[in-house]
Amino acid sequence: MLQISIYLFPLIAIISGVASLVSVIRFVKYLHEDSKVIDK
Amino acid sequence: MSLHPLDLAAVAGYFVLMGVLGYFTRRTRTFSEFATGKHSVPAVMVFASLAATIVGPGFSVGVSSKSWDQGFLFYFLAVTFSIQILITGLLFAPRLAQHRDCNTLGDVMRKRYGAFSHLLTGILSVGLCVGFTAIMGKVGGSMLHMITGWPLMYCLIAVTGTTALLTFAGGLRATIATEGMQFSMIAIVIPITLLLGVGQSSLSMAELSDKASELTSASFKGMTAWQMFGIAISFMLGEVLIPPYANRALSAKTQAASKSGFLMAGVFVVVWLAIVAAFGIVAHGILPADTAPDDVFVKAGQAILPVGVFGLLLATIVAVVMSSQEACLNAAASSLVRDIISIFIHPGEKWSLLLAKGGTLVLAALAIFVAQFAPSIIDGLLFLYAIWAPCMIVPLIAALYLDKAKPLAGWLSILGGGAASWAWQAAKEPGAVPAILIGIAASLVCFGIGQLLGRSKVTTTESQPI
Repeated sequence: MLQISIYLFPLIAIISGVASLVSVIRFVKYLHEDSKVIDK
Repeated sequence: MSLHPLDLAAVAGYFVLMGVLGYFTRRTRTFSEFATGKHSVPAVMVFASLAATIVGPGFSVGVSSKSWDQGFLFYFLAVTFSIQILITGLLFAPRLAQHRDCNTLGDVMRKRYGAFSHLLTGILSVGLCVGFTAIMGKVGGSMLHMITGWPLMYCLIAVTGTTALLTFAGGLRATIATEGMQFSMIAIVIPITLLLGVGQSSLSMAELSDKASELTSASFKGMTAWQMFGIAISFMLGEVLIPPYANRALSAKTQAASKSGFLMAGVFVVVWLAIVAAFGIVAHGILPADTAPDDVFVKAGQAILPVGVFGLLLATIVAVVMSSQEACLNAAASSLVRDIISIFIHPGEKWSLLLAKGGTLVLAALAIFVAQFAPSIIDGLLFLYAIWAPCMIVPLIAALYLDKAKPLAGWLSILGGGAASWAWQAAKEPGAVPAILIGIAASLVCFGIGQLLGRSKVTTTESQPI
């Protein structure tokens, strides 16, 4: 259990974190564009 | 705790980043946008925001402190939580996402059971979310107090106040965006700290494995089967469809996005809890044996990471607290307007939005006040679980699956389940039977009675107008 928790799971978490970061950037761009529409 | 200027700069950088995100996502035009983000959130963002909400102080610092003492025992009990997220993803979230005209859980309840059940759901939702916000705020405030040495009250205001300001402006979509960023920090920084910790540990992998086995077996023998069952069942049922999770199901772009987001989050919980549990065990090779369990996470991080990078870990801990608080505050404010105020008056779109924004600040102030009396994090969470689940699980699942649920069954099961759970807790849980189980059983019986005796007339099939 300890070995899986140390050698496998952190890699899965880090990959999830990076994937989320990419999605956040896209999502924030979309929200910012939406805000501009509201401003107009 | 004295901090290097680089560490302080990392924490300050985090707050600047949140401010920038808050600026880019600040606009909301309608109450529906504030509460459910126009039902436009993609699956990955549902996953990231849900995971960030789930990974609060209890599921990070709390689990590491438990595993320092108990090895993997607490992991095996708490991991039952993932079952509820997976079941929610498979069975409930897609059904909730069907209700495109609903902004809150209360709206869904109203369509099946009428206004009284709607109001009860609103009171429970607001109370639960303020309770969660207070507990999270206390943990975050205590950490800030430990880091800066400022008076605790100022620290409580700083943590919950900042969260309230971020939530206030942009509503759910801004909350989801900041939570996504916070999730990225959490999912990257803490696993890397664990990997570096393994490299610096004075114990070999074989010795750490032996330590884990020894601690797990000793704590397993120290608990009765009922005690373990009680904790496991509380984690499994206690947070089923609490308002922050339900709002993410409602906010999803499609039913498929809702389902995928929940399923990914359920799997992530299994992975995540193992990482933070392992961190508590690896800390035995880094910290002296007399370290207080509650200090293990921060002290191990300080010992492992170089200056500047340790500040990043502290910022991540702040992110852990704030992400959970944001979700709860947004859900509480939406519920206050939609499920309580709107029952009595129809404020209209513009005023609903203003009330929700104002409500965010008022509820944050209430949470800061309550935080001073909040119990320890795990005790506080278990107490809130024992209220929400007995009141809501049965009528909510029935609302999603039964077309002919009767109004009497709805409010009777909410009140009956809650009263039974409360009475069982007051009686100190006789026979060590968990109050949550007694409450859910009572709620089921009350629901059956309501179905038998109640009139089949449903008050309304549509959600009420704003």
